Amino acid sequence: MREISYRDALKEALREEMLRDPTVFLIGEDIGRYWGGAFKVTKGLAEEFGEERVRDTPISESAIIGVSVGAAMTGMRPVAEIMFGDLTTLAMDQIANQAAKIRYMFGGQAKVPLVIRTPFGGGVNIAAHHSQCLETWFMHVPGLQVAVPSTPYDAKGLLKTAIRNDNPVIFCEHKLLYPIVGPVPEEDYTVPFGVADLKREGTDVTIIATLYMVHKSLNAAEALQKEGINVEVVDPRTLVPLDKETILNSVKKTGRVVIVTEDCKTAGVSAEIAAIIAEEALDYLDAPIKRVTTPDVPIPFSPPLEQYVIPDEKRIVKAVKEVVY
Amino acid sequence: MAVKIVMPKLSLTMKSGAVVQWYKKEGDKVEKGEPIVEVLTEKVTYDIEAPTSGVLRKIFAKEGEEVPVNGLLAIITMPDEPLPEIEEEKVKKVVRERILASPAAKRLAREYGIDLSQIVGTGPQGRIVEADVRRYIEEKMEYKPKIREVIPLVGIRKISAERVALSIKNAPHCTLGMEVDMSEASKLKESFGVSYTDIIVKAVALALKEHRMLNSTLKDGEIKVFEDINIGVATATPQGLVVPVVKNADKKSLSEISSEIKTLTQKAREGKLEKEDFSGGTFTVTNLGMYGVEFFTPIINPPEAAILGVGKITKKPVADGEEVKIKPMMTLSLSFDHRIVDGVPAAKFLQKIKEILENPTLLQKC
Repeated sequence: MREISYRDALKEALREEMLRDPTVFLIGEDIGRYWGGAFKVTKGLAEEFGEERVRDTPISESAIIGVSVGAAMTGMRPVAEIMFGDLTTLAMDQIANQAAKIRYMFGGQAKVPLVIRTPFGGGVNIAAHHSQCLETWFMHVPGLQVAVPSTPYDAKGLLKTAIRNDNPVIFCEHKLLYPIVGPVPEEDYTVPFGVADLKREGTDVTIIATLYMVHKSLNAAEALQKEGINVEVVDPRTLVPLDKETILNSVKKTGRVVIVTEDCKTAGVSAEIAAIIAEEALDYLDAPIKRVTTPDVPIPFSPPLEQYVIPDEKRIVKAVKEVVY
Repeated sequence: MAVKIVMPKLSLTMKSGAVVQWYKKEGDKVEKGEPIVEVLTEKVTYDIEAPTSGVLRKIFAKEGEEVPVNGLLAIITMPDEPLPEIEEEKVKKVVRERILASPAAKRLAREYGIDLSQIVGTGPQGRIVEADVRRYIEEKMEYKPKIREVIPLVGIRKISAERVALSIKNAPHCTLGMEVDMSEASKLKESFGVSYTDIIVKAVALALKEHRMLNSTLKDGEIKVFEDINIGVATATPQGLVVPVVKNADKKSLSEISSEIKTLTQKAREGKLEKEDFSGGTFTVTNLGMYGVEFFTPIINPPEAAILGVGKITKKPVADGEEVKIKPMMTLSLSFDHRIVDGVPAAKFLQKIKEILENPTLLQKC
C-alpha cells in the first residue's frame, strides 16, 4: 500500500468529501490560497474549489463556529478549522452551548453536522497558549463527539466519517503527527466511530493511548519486548463514543493497565478511562491502574522543561514495570 | 456435669463454620444423640448431636454466626446444675486478617474455592497476584473444576436429599415395567374432563384394595398394613419436589379426586401446602410422561412400600388378535420394597392396575 503523511491523508479526506458532496465547505483562519492553513492541511484546496468553498475568515474563533453552526442547521456540512486547539476556548459558547445542544433542544428538528478540526499537543516549543490537549473538555459536553486519530489511515477514515456524521464532531489532530507517514489505501474507505484499534497485540499489560502518545507507547512496547514484557497497545480512536468493549476485553486479558495521554491528569481522558475500568473490570485487575500524563501545569516554554512534563518513552516503560511484577 | 459443645473440625482444611439453625432453645431438655444444632462449612451442612443428656443451658453462637473450629457453641448441664464460668477467650469469634491480594487474584481464588491465606504472594508488600493463585492451583491442588456458584442444601432440596438417600439405603428397590393400553382411559379422560393422573390415582387406589401388602410400611421388624389408602402425587414446584396426598382415594369418586388434585397441585406450586396436605401418604404416584419419559426407576417415598412411575402415552402399532392396530400405549414403572413383598405379588398388583385401566367396566367404578 502507498504511504502518505497524516497531513496529506487529512487533505485527501477533505478533497474527496468536497467532491462527493457539494454541501461540504471549509472555513477558518488562513486556510485559503495565501497560506493553506497553519499546518498546510488545506493547501491547494482553495485553488481547486474556489474561495466560496474554502473560506478565509477574520481572526474570530467565535464567529467561525457561530457561522458554521448556522450553516450546518440550514443544510450545509461545514468543516471549520481552529488554528490551535487552545483557541477553541474563544468559541466555547458556540461549541458547548449551541452546537452541542441544538439537536436535543429542538427535539431533533434541527441538526448540526459540523466538524471542527483543530490541532492539540505540545513538543514544538510554542508555550502554554499553543500546546494544550483539551479533548476532555469536549468529552464532558453531551452532544459532542470527539475523534482522536493517531495515524494517517485513521485520520483519513475518521475525518470522512466525521463529515458524514449528523452531530458536531471535535476532530482532534496533533501537531507532531502531521509529518508522520503511514499506509493509506487509494480507494474510498471510512473508519467508524466508537471502534478502538489494537495498535499492537500483547499479553502482559495493556497500554491505552491516544494521539501522539500511541507512537511513544509503541516505541516503549518495542523496548519492553526486549526485556520480555509483552505489551498490548489499544488506541480508542474516538473518545466519544468510546469503545469500552475493546478496552475492557484487553484489560480482562492482561489484568494490568497503563493509560498514556498527553492531557493533564486531573479529570483528564485517563481519569474517565480508568474509572470505566474500575467500574466494569475490577475483578480482572491484577495491579493498580497506572496513568502516565502531563502533570497539572501549563506547558512550559523552556524546551527542557517542556520535554520534562510531556510523557515520554522512559516514563511509559517505568510505569509498565511498576504494574508488571 | 457441664459438657461443652464446640465447632467440630469436619475436614482437614476447615477453619471455621457457621451456625445455620438451633433445633433447641436455651432451657430445653436434650437427649444424648439428639441433633441440637445445624452448622455449615464451606462444603456441607452437619447436625451436631447432643454428647450427653441434660438441659441446653446456654447458647454462645447465634444463628448465622461464624465460629472457629473448637469455638464454643453451647453448654449442656444437668437440670439443676449452675452454668460454669467460661474463660472469655474460648468464645472468641473469628477475626479475619486482611490479606493483600489483587482483585484478579481474589476472583480466581473465589472461582476455585481457594482460601487466600494458603497462598504466598509475590507482589509488592507480599500482595497475592493472579499468577500466585494460578501457581497454587497447578502445584498444590488436584484438578478441580471451576465453581460457578455454591448453593447451600436447605429447605425442600435438603429434605428431598435426605429422604431419597434414606430410601435407597434402607429399602432394596426392585422396579417392574408393564405396558398398558390407554384407549379406554383416554375415552374416560375425554368424557369426564379429567387428567390421566387422576384416573391412574383412582386405579391405583382400587388395585391397592386387593393388594394390601403394597399399602404398608416396614418398621422395627414389623410390617404395618394400612387400612387407609392415601395416594401421594409427586409434584414439581419451583422450590422442589413435593408430594401432596389424596386421602382415602379408594372411597372418592374420580371427579372428587380430580378436583382435589387440582387444588393440591395449585397450592403446591404457590408454596401454600399445609402440613395436613402432605402427611399420611401410604403410596405415591409420580408422572414423568408429560416430559417424554417412557420408563424410569422411581425411588420409593419412605416409609412407604412402593411407588408407581407413569410414563408417556405413545401411539404404537400393537397386535390385536391377528391384526395390527395403532393404540395409545403407556408404560408403568413400579418400584417396590423387596423386603416387604416379592416380585410376583408386586407384578400381580401391577397387572391389576393394567386391568382396571384397560377395562371399561372396571373403569366405570372410577
